[in-house]
Amino acid sequence: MTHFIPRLYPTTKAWLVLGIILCSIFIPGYWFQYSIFLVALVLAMLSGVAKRYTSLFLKSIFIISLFIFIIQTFLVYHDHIIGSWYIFKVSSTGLQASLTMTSKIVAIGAILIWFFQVTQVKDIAAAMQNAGWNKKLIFVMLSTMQLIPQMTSMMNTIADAQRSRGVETEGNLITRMKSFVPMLGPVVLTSIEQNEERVLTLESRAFSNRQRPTLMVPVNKTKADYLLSWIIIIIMLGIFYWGVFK
Amino acid sequence: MRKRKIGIRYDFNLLALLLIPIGVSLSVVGYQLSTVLKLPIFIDLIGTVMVSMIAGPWVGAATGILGNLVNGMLNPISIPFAFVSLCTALATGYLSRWKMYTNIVGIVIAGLLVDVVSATSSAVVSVLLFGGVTGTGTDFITAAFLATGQQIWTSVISTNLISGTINTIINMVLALLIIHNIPPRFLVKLNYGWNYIPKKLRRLEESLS
Repeated sequence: MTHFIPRLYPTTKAWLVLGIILCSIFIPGYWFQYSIFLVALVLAMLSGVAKRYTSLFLKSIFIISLFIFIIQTFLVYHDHIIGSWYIFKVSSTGLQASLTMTSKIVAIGAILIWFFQVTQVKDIAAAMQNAGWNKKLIFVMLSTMQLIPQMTSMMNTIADAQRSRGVETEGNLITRMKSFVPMLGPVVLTSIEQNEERVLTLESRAFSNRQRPTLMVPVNKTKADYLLSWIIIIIMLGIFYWGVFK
Repeated sequence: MRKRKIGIRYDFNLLALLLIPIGVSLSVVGYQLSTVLKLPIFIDLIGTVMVSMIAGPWVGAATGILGNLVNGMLNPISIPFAFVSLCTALATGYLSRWKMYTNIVGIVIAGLLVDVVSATSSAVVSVLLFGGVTGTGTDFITAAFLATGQQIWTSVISTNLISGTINTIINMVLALLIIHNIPPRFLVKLNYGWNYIPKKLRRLEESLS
């Protein structure tokens, strides 16, 4: 099971994400939305990424939800004050507003964190290519994901080199600010030099050709994907119908 | 000066297209560097600003949006803030097209305009979707404004202007410093690079053609 979910076709998982996003936007109330956190947690456990999922969730979504509660409930002026302490006034309207707002953020954020933890970007790119998306868009996406770690390591090399020739990276604020350009400048200039070579390479390999390229890592839909896609779509339509119209 | 066709249909040539990953990584690296150097500001816009200046508003906008999506894989909160990157990139790109970044007066005016644009668009996203919260330390300033009885919109926009002005200006100045170090033979191939080539070389090119 741990390998089953990450190996599913990306579109299958995307259907689930899309369904949950639409349902949590349109279904009134907040119980359904908050329960998505648990659903995504169970899914993360099944895919073997529960630890990372929880830590990412706490670091981003939980903190922002907490802030929203504090600001909306205590500080924004609303009617129906149910209690007050010093300058803080607790209002039921504000509480209601923050419940609706945070519940949606929790639902959408949770399912998105899960999705990106179990789906690799190269699989998404392959799926997009199979679906006939723009080739240039896919290339830019993939090459961004490759370039970020490359540039980070290049920055570390350059930082070491600059430090060894005497650029100060510690000290007061102005000293640290001054070291910014000698650190970042060479990174940019090197990448730009490489950029021209990359253009030549791509052109010599017929990148601008309109033909569909052959995939190095083919990603194929299995029977389980078709079955699961339909199950997910039907369940989501059902939840949507029951939640919105009943 | 020879006339180049510019606009959304012509801007996405291969050279500009390959600048997008560089811009995104530059923003990420800039952010890492500002945490390594323990700076009180975040240099997380520098890639978007640089690409918008030399490759035009639309390529810059693509850089900004992609950058937010990449961050969004780990922190989904940053996905809606792609709107802010879009607005900042478009403003910077059009100001660059109108040659605002070539003289000191233009740079000051452009800095203020971009600052207002980014502060307002950020307030729109954060008030409408997150009730005025961004999940960072600046929320305490917003809270302080609200505690004095201000409305939510005024509080959030003032917070953004206070915390964002220095940030925007430093990002812009750093981007300009880096652009002035880019070799002219690269700038001349880009649709919007002409204004950043030293005057002497521009005259030479004009006299030759």
